[in-house]
Amino acid sequence: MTERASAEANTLRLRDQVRAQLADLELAQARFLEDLQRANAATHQALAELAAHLLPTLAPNGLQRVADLLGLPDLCPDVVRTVATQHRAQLEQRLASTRADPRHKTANALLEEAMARQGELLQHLPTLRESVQRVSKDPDLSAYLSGVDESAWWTFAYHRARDAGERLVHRYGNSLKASSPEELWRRHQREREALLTLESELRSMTAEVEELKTLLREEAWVLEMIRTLEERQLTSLQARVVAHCDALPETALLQTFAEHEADVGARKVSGCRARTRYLEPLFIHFVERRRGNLLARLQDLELALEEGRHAPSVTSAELDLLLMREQREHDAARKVHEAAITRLFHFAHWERGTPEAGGLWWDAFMGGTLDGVFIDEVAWHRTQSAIPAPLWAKREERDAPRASTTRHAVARLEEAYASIARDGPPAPGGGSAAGMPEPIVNPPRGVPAPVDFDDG
Amino acid sequence: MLRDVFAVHGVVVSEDHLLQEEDVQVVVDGWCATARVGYEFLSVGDLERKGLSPAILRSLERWMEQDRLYLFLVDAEEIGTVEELAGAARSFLRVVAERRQRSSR
Repeated sequence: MTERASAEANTLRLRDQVRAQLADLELAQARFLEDLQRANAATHQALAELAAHLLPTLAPNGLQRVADLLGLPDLCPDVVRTVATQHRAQLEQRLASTRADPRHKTANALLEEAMARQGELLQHLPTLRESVQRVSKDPDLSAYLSGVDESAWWTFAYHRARDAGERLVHRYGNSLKASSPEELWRRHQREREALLTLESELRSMTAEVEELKTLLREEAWVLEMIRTLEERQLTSLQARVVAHCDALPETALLQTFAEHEADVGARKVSGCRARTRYLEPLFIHFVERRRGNLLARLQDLELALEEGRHAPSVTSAELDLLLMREQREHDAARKVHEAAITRLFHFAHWERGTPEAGGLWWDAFMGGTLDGVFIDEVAWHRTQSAIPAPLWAKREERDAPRASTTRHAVARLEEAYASIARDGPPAPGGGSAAGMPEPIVNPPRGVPAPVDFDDG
Repeated sequence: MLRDVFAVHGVVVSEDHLLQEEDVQVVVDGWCATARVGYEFLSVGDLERKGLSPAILRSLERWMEQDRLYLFLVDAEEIGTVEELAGAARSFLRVVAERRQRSSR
């Protein structure tokens, strides 16, 4: 393989690895959106649990305690009782009015009867309608009617009509039991009237069936509303508590419940909110920022390939080591990110969160496994708080390449890239003036910036 | 065509026949002197040329009511199809036969 071909193969390998890592980060983006939804749902669930804990029933004592605690006068037992009484009165009035309908007592029997009659009518309707329409739509009927009464018997118009009438008798005489056009016309008219009557009766029967059904449904609905009145009122008051607590700022929420038995519930709400807040900076730090770097690098590599410029010559073994190191860093960052997300969502010790005492939800979630100063809230806390950060493992040292060959490869690449940056772009189609291998004008950003998941 | 339909019913007509009845003289399109049955095509522009005045038409109609003669009056503008005309002619001849039967009783 020539030096140039070898350099091109190196660039291609670099590009393929960048592409694969970008594909990984695309997946992480989809997971981020799912996690956000999951976190929001969990916060809402925590609020609902808190409300249910505060208001398990409509017992007056409990209501009064919650009304006092949250400063919500509409939760006072008197107010709640008055609202319930008014609501019940409205429902009972509606029930009485439904039961006052004269059809109410026999509504079921009436409905059965009306539906039976409706069924009968529906059974006869198609045959009759078909018979009437068959004659009505026959063009000979209009020809017969247009001339037979208006013309003298010796005229063409009279006999044309009469002939059409004869054809009608031939076609429908048997079914209508008519032997002359006049008789056929009379019988057809009778059938048509019968059809109109039947359709009208069917309409009124259908309306009656619907009215009776509505009457019965209305009664069932009102009874159900009365039966579930307390349950619905409790749900509505719990929703009121949820809305109130949801609107409370962090400090107010924790202060409100500081001495209360529902303190852990309030801490859970606070913790769930913090979890939702942490997701985005985590995503930006571990995915977005890295994705931006990789996209820029991919662009450079694509351009280099297009213009025939290639990475400085390094041996295949050196490149193997470089790619391995990059991949290891990429995988390590992904694992740290995933571990952080897992910790966020698996956390259940809400009593450990003490933000009101200067504690940080982040530390409670991570238990000292990740510093998280890339999160503004955490960084601010580290500088302001007197509480020391947990003792972090020296991951940077642990993850650094140990093999001297790796250090050597990286050093060689960095040296070559630096040399390219100094020398500027090569003349098209040729090597550099110094006889160096063809460099790339915008070299990849050298060794990727180490992920700072352990930058504490 | 009407001539053939009439012939099927035993009425043999001569065409453009001079019909003379009382003081009326008029040339009709088809006439059987034996059966005293015929036909006449009417069109608005033709009535005067054929000498069919309203008075003559009234006389012809009166005689038909009296079953003295039978003339099938066809408004040429009303004819849709040949079949329609043939069917109407057959109907006319049936009515004539019925009237003859009634009047002979």
